[in-house]
Order: sequence, then C-alpha cells, then structure tokens
Amino acid sequence: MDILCNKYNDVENLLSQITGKLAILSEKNHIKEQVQKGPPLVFSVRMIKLRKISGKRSQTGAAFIRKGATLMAMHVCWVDNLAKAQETARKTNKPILLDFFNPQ
Amino acid sequence: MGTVTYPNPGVAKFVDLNFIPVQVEVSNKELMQKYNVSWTPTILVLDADGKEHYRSVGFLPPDTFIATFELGKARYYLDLEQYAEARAVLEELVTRCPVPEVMPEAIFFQGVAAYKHTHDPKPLRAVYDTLTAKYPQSEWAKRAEPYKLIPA
Repeated sequence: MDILCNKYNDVENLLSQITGKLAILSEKNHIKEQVQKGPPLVFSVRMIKLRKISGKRSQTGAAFIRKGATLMAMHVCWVDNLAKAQETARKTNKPILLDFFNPQ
Repeated sequence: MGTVTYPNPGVAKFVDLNFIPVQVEVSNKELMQKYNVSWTPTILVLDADGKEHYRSVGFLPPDTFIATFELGKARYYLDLEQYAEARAVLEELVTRCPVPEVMPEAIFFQGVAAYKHTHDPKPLRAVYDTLTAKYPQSEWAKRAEPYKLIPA
C-alpha cells in the first residue's frame, strides 16, 4: 500500500487523513529525520498493518508503518508560494518548476 | 496537465526528485506579467533568484513532460555554468530517454555543454554530424550548420 506524505505537513496527521485511521509511526524518528532532510518530498509507505489501540476501542485501527518503509513520489506536491520555493531552492540547490494553470 | 500528466507516478517522482514545484493560478496577474505569460499551461524552470532558464507552453503527455524538463534542468545547469551536471543530465536524456520531440535540442545542448566544459570544439562538430544524420529536418540541425566548418 502506498501513502502520500508531504514534507510541509505533519507526517502522522496526513497519514491519518489519508487512511481515515489513527496513524502511529513505528519509526517516527527515522521518518521525521528523512522529512527534515528535504527531498524526496513524498513518502510511500508499504506494509501497513491494522491493530487495535489499547483504550481506544472505538478506533478501527492504526496505520502501522514498519521499519524500512519505501520512499517514493505518489503525486506532485505543489507549493503556491514562490518566495518560499526560492528559499527552498537556495538551500537545496534545486531548480524551481513554476506552473501557471487555469483552474477552469 | 492536471488530469493526465501530473497524476502520473513517473512524473510525480521525477518532479519531486528534481524540482521545487510551484503552481500559481492565472489570476495571479503580478506573476503572469513578471514572467510574460499569456497562455496556459506555461511551465518555467527558475533558479533561486527567480530568473527564468527554460519555458514550455502547451500540454505535454507524461513521457514528453519528463524529457522536456530533463532538458530544462540541463539548461538551468548550463546557464549556471555547472557544465559537468549539465552534461550528465543531457547524456542520460539522449542515451536512455529517447523522446523524439526533445532529442534534437538535447543533442544540440549536449554538444554545447561539452564545448563549454572542455573548450574542445569537436563535440560541436559531432552535434552537426548527428543532427544532420538523424534529424535533418529539425530546426536544431539548421542551427548546428555552422559547426560543419569545424574539422572532424
């Protein structure tokens, strides 16, 4: 199973939104460290297990991510602030891809 | 782009690995004017100072998108005088990702990057030879015509 995670968001919150379940990262520090390192921006997490949370029986389960989760992009994580992107570009030495689009 | 190209996992992976992706709506008149954009989709490659290095206008299917912006990344490196990086990107593009629409320009700039890196003009002559043999009708073959004067 692949799950998207954007580095601009909190890992667990985003996982919870996507899975609709309480997300618990077994390797929280490992993943946070990778998020802080910057790109790749998107996490793909495999081998998700459901388990009951003690004292929270109303929860249907938790997304449990094993060590060694694979990282890869699932979709483009656009930002809408060019100034912020320039800051990131300066730090990462990466070019900016600026897409002008018409939402209609 | 939003329904075909950007949801493609290969495109997503490519963009996230190689770029800081920014999306702005056409209602952002300030940026539209600053970058002289009058049609969508228009996609630019910028540096950290906001300076433009490459531009694509119109829809691109996933494979062409990746090849086009590999080229855009190479042009960015070339402009920033990071010639080794530019050559590596272009070599990869020309040898491993042969999208015909992008190839003539990629071959042209492969020669340019090699020349700028080494000051040896022979790669420019190789550009002329390759383009006239493989893509004789392309505009890039015409642009390379002066290089036929360089001894092989």
